[in-house]
Amino acid sequence: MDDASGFEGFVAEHGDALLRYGYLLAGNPHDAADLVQEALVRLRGAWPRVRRKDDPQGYVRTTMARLHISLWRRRRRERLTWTPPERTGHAFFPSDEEQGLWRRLAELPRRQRAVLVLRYYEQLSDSEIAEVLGISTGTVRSQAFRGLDKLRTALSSAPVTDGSTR
Amino acid sequence: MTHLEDTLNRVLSGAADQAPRASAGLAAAVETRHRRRRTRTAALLSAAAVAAVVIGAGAAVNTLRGPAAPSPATGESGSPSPGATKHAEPPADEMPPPVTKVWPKAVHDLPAKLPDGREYEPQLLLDDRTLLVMTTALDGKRQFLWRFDLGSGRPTRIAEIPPARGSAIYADGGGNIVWWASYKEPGRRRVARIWTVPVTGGRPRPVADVPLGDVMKEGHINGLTVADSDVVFAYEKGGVHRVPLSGGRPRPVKGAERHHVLRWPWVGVHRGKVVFRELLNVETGERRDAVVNSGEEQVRCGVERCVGVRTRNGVFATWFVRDRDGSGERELPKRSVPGAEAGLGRFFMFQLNGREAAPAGVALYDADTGRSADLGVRPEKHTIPARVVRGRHIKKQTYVSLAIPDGGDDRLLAVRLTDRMRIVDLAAIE
Repeated sequence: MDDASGFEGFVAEHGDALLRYGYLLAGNPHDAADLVQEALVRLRGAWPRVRRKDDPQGYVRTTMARLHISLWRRRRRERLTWTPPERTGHAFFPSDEEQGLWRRLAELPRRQRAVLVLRYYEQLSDSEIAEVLGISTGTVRSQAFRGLDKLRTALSSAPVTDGSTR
Repeated sequence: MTHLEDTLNRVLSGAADQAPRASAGLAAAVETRHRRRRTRTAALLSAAAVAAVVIGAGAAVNTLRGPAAPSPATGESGSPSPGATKHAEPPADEMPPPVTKVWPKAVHDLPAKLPDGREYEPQLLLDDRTLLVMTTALDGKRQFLWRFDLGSGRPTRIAEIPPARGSAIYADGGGNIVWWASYKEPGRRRVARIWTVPVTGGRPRPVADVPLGDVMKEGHINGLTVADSDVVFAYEKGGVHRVPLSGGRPRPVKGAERHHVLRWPWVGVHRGKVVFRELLNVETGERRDAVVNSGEEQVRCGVERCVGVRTRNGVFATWFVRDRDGSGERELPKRSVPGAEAGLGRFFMFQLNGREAAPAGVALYDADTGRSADLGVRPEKHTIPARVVRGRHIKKQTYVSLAIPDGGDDRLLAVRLTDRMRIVDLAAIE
């Protein structure tokens, strides 16, 4: 049997969702695309095994989170084809507060950012986050605390202009 | 949840909506890289054209030409095939003549910015002489639609549109522009709100809210178009629906419950490795299945033609384009860029290389006549300064990137040059 059986379907079905997740982890479309492609290449290598265990989603998402906080990008040599969202640019938000928060997120250390994305977007529990990132639950809590603390500073100092801050 | 946590949640959801989309060639690109890592044959390396943004020069290019970098996760190690170790320096490509000389009637060079100083993104050609553009989200919070008269080069503002928080697709049909944007109000389900505005201008008006499921898993909607007096769309996971332009509830299109919109009234499903292998005309009931042979990969079909890669013993051999029924097959240049078909199933882009295989430009290739033209894109140099990451010193890195223009299935090819926007109307090429 073809060892790639079902892989293409998996990518077709989950590619966009993985890019969304990668975009939140990485903060920009280029790195998001790289992250997704690298994680998928690794998933492809492990596909016959992962498919049997029936959790390719978990595998690829865990790989992405771990890749994101590692130094994998130094090895990067090529880029993925990606389609910009309907030909628009980077993320933007209706209020200064939200825009400021998104920018501040980008400045967080990778691990703190990953913890916040997993907690507030993926809605994972701290013990699940610990498992995904391969760190202790205590570290998850301290990283989340520090990350939120930095964001709070950003939020309180967000510039108020033309009443658009909500 | 605290205010901060609530805002964070909202920012993350909003940003996720603005993430890049997976291209149709994603699985194929992954497969190519997987094989390259596994087999490490020089022959396969020549098929390295899996990138829409190509990084080359210096060490990077050497790596692409030499044995593939070790795979950190899979740990697989194939043995190099004989003769794969030495590689002669490939000669620089001959630059084809400029597109303005080859197809002058199809090329329109427009200013890089609108009269108000904003940058814009071309969206689609409404007819032979009208280009619809949208101001970019990066350039101010307010967003506007404009149209360019390609004959005179004169821009006209159509409307200000509500900040398209999330993705937006523009489609034309009978003088109406339609798009959608994603909204989530506290305590309610996320919706894709469909909007419309006349091409001649006016106030944008919401058409309908389309309820969405878990967008992380199931995605949003796409494939918008106007058919008669209805807006047609499909869920990203599949399922074509229509809703009256005047408003109302979306209802499923019979027989297209799992389908995606290719080009209305053609809808289709992807089968195995083939994108839009099966097509259905929902107005006439006509079906069109595409012929696909063994050893073919990355096959992607339009209404009339399919494009794909032929492999020999699992190794990239050639790109091809042919009619859906398998006839009229032609070979494409080796460095054609997958997922960056320039349009109409006839035009393709391929990378031009300079000395030492450094990227030098992008050519537009007409598969019907075999003619090529230089689109005018040139590589950009980048330098990443030396830095210390987690105690490790990382040397200064330089690389060259080549921005391959956004392709698509339609007649529009928009090429952003340093000082102007180059519009190629593929339908105007005889």
